[in-house]
Amino acid sequence: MSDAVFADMMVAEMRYLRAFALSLSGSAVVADDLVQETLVKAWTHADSFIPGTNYRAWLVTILRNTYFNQYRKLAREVQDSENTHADQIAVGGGQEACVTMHDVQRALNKLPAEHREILLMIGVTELSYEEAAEICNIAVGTVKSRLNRARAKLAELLGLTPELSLTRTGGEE
Amino acid sequence: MTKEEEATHTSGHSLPATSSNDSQPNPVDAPALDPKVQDELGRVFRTFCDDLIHQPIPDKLVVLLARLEAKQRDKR
Repeated sequence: MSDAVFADMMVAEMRYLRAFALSLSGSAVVADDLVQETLVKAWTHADSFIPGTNYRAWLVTILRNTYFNQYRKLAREVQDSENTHADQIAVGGGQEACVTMHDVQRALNKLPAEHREILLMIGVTELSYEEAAEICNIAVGTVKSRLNRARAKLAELLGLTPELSLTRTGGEE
Repeated sequence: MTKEEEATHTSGHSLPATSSNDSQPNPVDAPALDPKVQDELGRVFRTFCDDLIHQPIPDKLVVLLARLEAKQRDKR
């Protein structure tokens, strides 16, 4: 494929990549470095992309491996000293949305990285279980179990209980 | 509802999210979230993901991409 097509595809995928980097690292500074490095690597290794396969999954693979090899430790350090990215970014909704985003990111930061990445590959970058399994080199069943554990832990960290959900949904049943 | 939510429903009962499921023989079935909690979590997490995806892209990333493309062109 031509460089122009490759670049256009990259622009289209950039927001997913950055969203994944932000939520995976929990830091805007680390996320932008991570995306930059991913873009450079993707260009350098463009010929290893197989046309017809999922381009986003290919980019996520590069970003994810870069994170675990180079940025994981840094991200933890930065998280402690810097407010999470949710504090700094513009929020589309009102005050409530701001609190929710911050709370969710803080909860995500507390998950094991192996569980967090699965949750985000499925939720943020909208990859399939099979793609997530291939990227992480694990079985599809392991993807599902990590996803379930991540969700249960997230609900716990966010303080979601059946009673609370009932009142917040207006108790229409 | 997505596929993973169906998967958590298969065991048909609700466990408190605090119970440790690490020791269970079949981890896929392990933490069955209460349906109400599941709905609420789904809503909160979906909003979180949508917000993230719609964040503006920093200029430096757009610039970097343009530079990479130009460099590639010059090589030919």
